[in-house]
Amino acid sequence: MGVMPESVTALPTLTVRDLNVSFRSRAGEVRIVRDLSFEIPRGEVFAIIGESGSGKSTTAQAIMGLQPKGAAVRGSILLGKDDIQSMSPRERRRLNGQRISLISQDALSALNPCTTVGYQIAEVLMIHRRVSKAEAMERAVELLSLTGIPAPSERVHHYPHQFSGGMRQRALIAIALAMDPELLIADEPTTALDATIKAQILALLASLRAKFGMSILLITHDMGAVARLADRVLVMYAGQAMEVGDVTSVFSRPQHPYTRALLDSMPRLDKHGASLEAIPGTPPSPSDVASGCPFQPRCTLARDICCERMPPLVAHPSGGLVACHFALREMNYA
Amino acid sequence: MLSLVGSNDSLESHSETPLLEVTDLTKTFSIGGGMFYEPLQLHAVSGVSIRIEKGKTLGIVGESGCGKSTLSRMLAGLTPSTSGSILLDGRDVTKLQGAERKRVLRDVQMVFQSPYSSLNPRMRVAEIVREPLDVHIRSLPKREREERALQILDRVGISREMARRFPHQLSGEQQQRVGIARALVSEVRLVICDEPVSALDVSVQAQVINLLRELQRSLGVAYIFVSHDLAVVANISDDIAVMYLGKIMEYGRAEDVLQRPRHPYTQALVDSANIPDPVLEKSREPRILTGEIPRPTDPPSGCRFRTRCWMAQERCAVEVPALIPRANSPQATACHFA
Repeated sequence: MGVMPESVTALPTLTVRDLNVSFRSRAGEVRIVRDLSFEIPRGEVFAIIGESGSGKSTTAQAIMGLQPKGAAVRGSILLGKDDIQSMSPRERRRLNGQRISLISQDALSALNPCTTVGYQIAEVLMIHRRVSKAEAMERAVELLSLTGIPAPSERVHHYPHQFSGGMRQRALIAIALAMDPELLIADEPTTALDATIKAQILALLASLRAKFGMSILLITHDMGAVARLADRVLVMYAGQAMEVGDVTSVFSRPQHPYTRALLDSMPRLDKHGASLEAIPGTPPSPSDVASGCPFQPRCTLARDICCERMPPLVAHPSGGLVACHFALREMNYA
Repeated sequence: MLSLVGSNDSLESHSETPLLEVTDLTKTFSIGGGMFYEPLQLHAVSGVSIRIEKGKTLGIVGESGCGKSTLSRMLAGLTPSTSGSILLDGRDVTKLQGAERKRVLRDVQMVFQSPYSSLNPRMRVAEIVREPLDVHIRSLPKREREERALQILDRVGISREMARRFPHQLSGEQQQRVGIARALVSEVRLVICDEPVSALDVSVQAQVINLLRELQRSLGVAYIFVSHDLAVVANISDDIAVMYLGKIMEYGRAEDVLQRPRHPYTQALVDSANIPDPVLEKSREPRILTGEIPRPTDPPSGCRFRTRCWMAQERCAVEVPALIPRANSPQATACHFA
């Protein structure tokens, strides 16, 4: 990353302001992400939690500039001080892999089945840094060993199908780390993995973050993984931010009814056998979101005002931001 | 929470015939092979013994390739076993044939992981749920069968209006409710749930788990609940069996297995489950297993877990540890050092 003047280092790694992603469909405009704003300071692990259809992965795609064709992305995305939303596609492509990189959920389809894993790591260096193939392959071995793959000097010559699920995820992390990025986006990095392998990958991400100090945007539905890895969390529902804050305070004193309901509905190993507080209904599809607050049809606190207008995301005495008409009132009850 | 007085756990009490008693059940698949070479033997399940009392839940937990799905398919009669016995109410299902087998296996039904692909897309919900009755209880007039299907649908929270729809018109969670109604419609006694909530969103998982518990209370049905998610299994089970590479590593009452796990693998599994409590999560140092699950075509000699075990010694490579209660622990553990 090189030496930067003080004023620049103080800037957050990523600043997202009023991000909107929408699609045109026969039924009209479908808004997947609505007025989303957040920032990720340097070295922070920032998590976005959400269920399917909440827009969390679309947010990641928009940051990478990888949104599907036909998607309209509005708002500003700043990487450091650079507005990447206004860059040309060519400039933007140069950023990906270099300053921002992505680890996706499905490691098998993210890797090219026709070339060796080593070459896929080396390729990143050959393209962005224009080093020789021999040099790049040497670095690939280092990166594989860094991500905990045994016998890396043999493994570089293997193809993705010769890797197990956990090792493919490690290889993907090695590719993502090749250029020492400022921001690592991990989109459901452990969802497809077995419990003991998932624990390995979470530990690896934690150690890499400690070693390199990059910022991580963790996108997941797994609250346990967020508790383990993240510093701050944004809870997303139907494309909107419901609550943002420090992981410890959001999880121990959730202020939004959705966050609270989500935590109560989850089976926990430390409270086994306890009956679960189920949330009635199902998450809405993006084309059919309720008026006012999107969580209102499933919320126990909902009143008329909730159907009429979306509560703004405002600062809460707990230190976080909450989008609920009744967040403050709830505090008084408690 | 747990009293030591209650040590007459379900494994030990032989007072009455259990609903299901499985002894030494084994399934070996042959892969490939030809004129000049031997087929590979895949030991999916080897020597598994379990028992379930009426109206209770046995949770089976394990990672991919541990044999939990093969085991549940054998118990439901969908996959023939290689050896061993499956006693349902004292009758060995593996030895039965034809109409008698069909009649006995009627008591066992299955709920599948993927709700959508386990429902016929061209049948309406009410017809899907009625089908087991059409097959098993033909003596009943059609009107009555229809009525019963609608009644059980109502109990799982599917209205008469929704019963006229096709599966694709329902949400994933509603589809799973239909799958549960289909399993319960014909007065079953044992339902095998193979990862029934894994495909569902977090906020609706609890609805389905609570529904299963409530149905068990009112209908007295027993469950075998198979999942990779220890927290989900812990929530619903009376007993838990932890599987690794086709064998049970630890087996006992849920409280015992989860609060005082004796097998190193169970300990690692319990450790790897993240709890949504950031203070706890960031302060604890979970034990992380090295390496990966070996291939079931070539399992390690002796104890199958020894290649990833931090306690493994020479003995583990030679001698297969028996699944027996160890000193000072009510549950059975297959480890020499437990």
